[in-house]
Amino acid sequence: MSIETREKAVLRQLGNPADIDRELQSFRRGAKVLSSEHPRLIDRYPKQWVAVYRGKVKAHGRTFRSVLQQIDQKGLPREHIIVRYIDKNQRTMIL
Amino acid sequence: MLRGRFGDTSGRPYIEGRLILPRLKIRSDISFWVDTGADRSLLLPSDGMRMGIDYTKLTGDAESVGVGGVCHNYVEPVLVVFSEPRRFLYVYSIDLIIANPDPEIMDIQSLLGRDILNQWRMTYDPTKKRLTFQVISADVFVPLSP
Repeated sequence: MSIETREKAVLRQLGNPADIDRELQSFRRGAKVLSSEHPRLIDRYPKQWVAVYRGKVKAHGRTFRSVLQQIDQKGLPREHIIVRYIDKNQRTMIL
Repeated sequence: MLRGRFGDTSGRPYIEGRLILPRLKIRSDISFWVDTGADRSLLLPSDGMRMGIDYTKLTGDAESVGVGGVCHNYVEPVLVVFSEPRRFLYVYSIDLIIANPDPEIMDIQSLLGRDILNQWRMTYDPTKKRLTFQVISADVFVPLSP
């Protein structure tokens, strides 16, 4: 496959670039809550799973599945959500 | 230039992007853990399950070795997209490794490995909370209109 053909195939699968840019900017802004010191999620949701959408915690719970259920019950778009386990004593990762 | 961030409690480096799995018709935003130690990018179950991946439809068998031992994973052709706001989209066409759901790895985030990181120049400065990436190459550059 030539480079041009490959590029065209990628662009077809990509969708509208302006929409992607706008949505990724929103997603990135929302993700900053996971880097924020004020407020710190660890203070409110220790040892819990949280779902962050547009910079706000929209669901939380003790299990991953319960958080997914809450997301679906609230009709939130899974594709724009970050789900994280919040714990001060995280496992040490050596990858 | 792309910007990443450091996690508040973990201090781990992250960058947000979009993952497109054309065969499975899945498109989702994702927050990757930047991992220069990973040979290839890896989708972990917490993201895969959130996106609604049907693991019974996955194929391929990529063996990976970590500190915990050997794992057998699926392989799926995907697009990974990063945006430099209002300037460019950078698109990478890769074979993504997808880990099988397992309770032991649910709290690990998906990894952005050297299959993509080797095409960037990274500035990593946690003391100043600065994590940036200059894109050297991409499979497709998409200019964004002002």
